[in-house]
Amino acid sequence: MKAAIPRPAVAYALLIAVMAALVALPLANIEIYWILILFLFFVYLAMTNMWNLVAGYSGLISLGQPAFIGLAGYSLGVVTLYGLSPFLGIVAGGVLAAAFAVVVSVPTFRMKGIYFAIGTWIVAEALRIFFNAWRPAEAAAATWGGAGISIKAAAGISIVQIYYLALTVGFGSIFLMRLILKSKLGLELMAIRDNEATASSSGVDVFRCKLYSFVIGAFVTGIAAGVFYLFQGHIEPISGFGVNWTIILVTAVIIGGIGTIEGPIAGTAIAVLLQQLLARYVGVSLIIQGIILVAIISLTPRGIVGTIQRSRASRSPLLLAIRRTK
Amino acid sequence: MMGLLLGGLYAVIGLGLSLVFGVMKLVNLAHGDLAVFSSYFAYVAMSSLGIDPVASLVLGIPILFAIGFAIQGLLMNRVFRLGMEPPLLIAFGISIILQNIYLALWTPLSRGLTTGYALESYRIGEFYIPLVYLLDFVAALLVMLFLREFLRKTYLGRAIRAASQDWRAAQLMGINTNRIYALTFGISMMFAAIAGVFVGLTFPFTPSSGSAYLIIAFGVVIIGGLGSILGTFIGGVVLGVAQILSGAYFGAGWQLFLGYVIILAILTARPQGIFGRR
Repeated sequence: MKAAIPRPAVAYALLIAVMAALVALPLANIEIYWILILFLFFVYLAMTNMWNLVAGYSGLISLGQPAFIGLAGYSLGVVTLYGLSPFLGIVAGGVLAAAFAVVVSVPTFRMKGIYFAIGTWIVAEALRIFFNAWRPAEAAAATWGGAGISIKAAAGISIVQIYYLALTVGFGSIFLMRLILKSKLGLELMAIRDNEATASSSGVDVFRCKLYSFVIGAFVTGIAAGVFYLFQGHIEPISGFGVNWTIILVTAVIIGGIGTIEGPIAGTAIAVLLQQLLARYVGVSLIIQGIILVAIISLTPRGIVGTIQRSRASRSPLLLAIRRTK
Repeated sequence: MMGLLLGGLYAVIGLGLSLVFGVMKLVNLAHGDLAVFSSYFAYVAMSSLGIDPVASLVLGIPILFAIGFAIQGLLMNRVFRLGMEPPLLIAFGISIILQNIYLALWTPLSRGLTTGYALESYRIGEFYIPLVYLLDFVAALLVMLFLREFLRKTYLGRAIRAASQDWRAAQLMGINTNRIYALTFGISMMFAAIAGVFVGLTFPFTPSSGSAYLIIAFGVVIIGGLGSILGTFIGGVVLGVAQILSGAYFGAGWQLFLGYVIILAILTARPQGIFGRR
């Protein structure tokens, strides 16, 4: 694991200052555009952090995260349809996503490596097709005749409130990551990722650890998705369960550096800015994102933070000393 | 009966994926999208030049072979020994690029290769068999026979088999494995080209059809197991029959969904495939 931040007191003071600035931001007379970008950043950050936990630290390359995102979005839609609080809807989305993760883990955890990736991807695709055919009878008023459903409560909530929600979820995910990685579970997960057989024979309950990580990942991803769809105001199968989500998550984590704490933060910032910069070229935006993804993986398979850490480690006096003695 | 014929077609889609998977141990997530390239290529050849889709393969096969050779030679060979994830993600990136290029060039509307013979059908006993399905099946048999003989009889085929069994030993025997891998990928793309045209003749396609083809191909490989041409064929037939039957019972809207459920169920029960070896 990476060494703790140097001079912790300074770092914490800096962190608190940044958080205070972010909280105070809407009070200052700032352009709504920047609030929106920060909102997107923090929502994506929560999801990328969770993908990093599941894929980077637990070795479960899940391409099925859209399943949790879509389910959470739909549960928010259905809960608010009955006039219940949207906050209840967000929590319900997280819980449903977590419950679904438990159900899905039964078949998919039997698959290894590449099979798991494809298996989870098929789950998301199957759900997309399912929701395409699904017509909620009692929700007929809320649908537009298609398979989409609009989230009524979205109208009553201001962008500043949603921004604070995103801020909470984003920072919450960072603290959760630190908490998990410092706990016994985090150590066990990394042991599994590095060598599953060794970990298992050292007494690590592989199945239980992976399940915890997968379910926690689904829960937080669901919560973040709820916040996102509260802002979006409507959800359709193609956007909720679509592969676009996987693209964002994978690109951000890979660009930043998979299996590092800072990686997803840097990667998400780059991904959000890239998305904004490319937004005006509607057709080619995803083509360029794909090219960037391919280029980065073939040039630096470890991502930006991963590469920096490596080069720093290779220059560290300790490692040099070890090399000299060899 | 329809399912049986459709199964042959599915087997061709799966064959290319199985070849790359079996030899390089990498899953080409862009396989379906590359097959769709051939569908669109045939579409353009047909609509602007009036060339028959099957005839367009004369050009389509070499083009896809070159693309496949380049993908493996330039991108995959650098990373695929590092582990499962980098090649998976590169293929994922290629898939995104291709889908969006199709979207930009040909709009999201669904296209079809509608030829003069697309709607003809033959009567055998009490069944009506569409001619296209029959063509699919014949093409599938030819392709599988070709692959079998190729892997058995030619030097290149033996080299591919050697590299798939133990690449270090193959390299020691003087085989340039990186070049073999690039050629294998190219050959797999030739099958994708053939599959793309025949799938295009049978079903309408959209820029995102590649995902559905890929999942079908993966299902075929899962059911049939790796490295077995006969298994791939059986896998295709099982999936084809299952889909046609479930479509008949539950309606066409659920056909694809049930196909996915079947694949998931098989993955769960036997992660290495029904006819697969570990």
